[in-house]
Amino acid sequence: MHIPDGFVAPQIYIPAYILDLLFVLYALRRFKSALQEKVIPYLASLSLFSFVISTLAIPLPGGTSVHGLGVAPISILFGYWVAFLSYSIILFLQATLLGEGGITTFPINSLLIALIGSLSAFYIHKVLRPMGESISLFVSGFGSTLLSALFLAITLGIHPYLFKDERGMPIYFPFDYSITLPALILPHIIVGFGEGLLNVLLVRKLKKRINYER
Amino acid sequence: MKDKLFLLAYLIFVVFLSSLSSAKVLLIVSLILVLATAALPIKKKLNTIKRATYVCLLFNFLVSLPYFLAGLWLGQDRSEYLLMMTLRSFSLTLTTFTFFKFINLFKALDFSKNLSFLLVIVSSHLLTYVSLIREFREALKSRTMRKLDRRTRLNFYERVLTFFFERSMHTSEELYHAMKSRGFHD
Repeated sequence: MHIPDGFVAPQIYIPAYILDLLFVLYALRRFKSALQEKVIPYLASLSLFSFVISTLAIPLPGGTSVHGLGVAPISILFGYWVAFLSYSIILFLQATLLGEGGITTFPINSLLIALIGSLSAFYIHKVLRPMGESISLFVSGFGSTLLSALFLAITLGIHPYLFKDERGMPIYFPFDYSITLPALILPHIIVGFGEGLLNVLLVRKLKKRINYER
Repeated sequence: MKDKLFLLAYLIFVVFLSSLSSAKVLLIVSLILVLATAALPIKKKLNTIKRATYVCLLFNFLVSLPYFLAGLWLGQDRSEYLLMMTLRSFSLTLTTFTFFKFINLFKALDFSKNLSFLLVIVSSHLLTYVSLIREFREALKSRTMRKLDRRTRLNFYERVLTFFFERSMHTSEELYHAMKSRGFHD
């Protein structure tokens, strides 16, 4: 889902940077007041763990496999601000050191994958928990992936309406909503299925471990 | 201070590059950037240019090329768009790759001690984690004769993720004590 550089207009990514920075500062402040001296090592290790989750391809029925985002399990286990911060750190390092995603698209990826993904996963799980742990975990993983994809489709699809040259040709991302919505939502149904499975697997396994430590 | 000024110059240049929409100007800028990358005292110059080309072609193949081909089908000439997007994407990617090889990212961001330290820790452990994940995969592959079924793969992931979770928590504690003993919080 990472967008590389050149396809997003500065009029979109500059405000996104400002917004992302505000959210990062707010999250860091909240997190810091709770954890104090342990904030840096804790965030660093969870960022590394987010990275591990995002590198694994989850096997799906039918022989296919998809890469998970790994935002949902971190959000449910540690809270959405922690998930947002740790995943944003990984996105930033992937863009700057590993060349995955772009520096101009980093705030879009951070806001859509890390923030919307973690917020939606947390609240879907909270609302659906009375229906059963497995169902709520699966739907939160699935739903958060689809919501991130939906917002990404909206962000990209708005470009051809707003940014055109004098001949009416697009100068940034070229496809409008009629293409971006199905092109992003349909494959992410499969990705969401994998993310849901990963969420059930991981949260169930690690919850016991975390409860034991507490 | 030098790294911070470079970072500021880089950010201004990125905004400038991303606002260009003339294929001719982008072609000139891309050529200058390739020459600048070749002239700068950085390691693996050719590899940097190759990686930038690969990254930009990959996404262009998925987005700009289908748009160009759809134009052919509709009788529209969209070659200028294809060229402009490829060059813009290439120039931005090459600028980023070259820039982060040329400067010290952690020094550039050391206006916040916490942020700089956080990035140093994550990036230094990141490569260890990458090689550990590779070793886990290779260990499984070398011990398997047939194609793995879904259940076995899920079990494998469960064990791998538990291992990394334990390791992350352990690393967190170790880092905290290391930082405290070195007076980081004083």
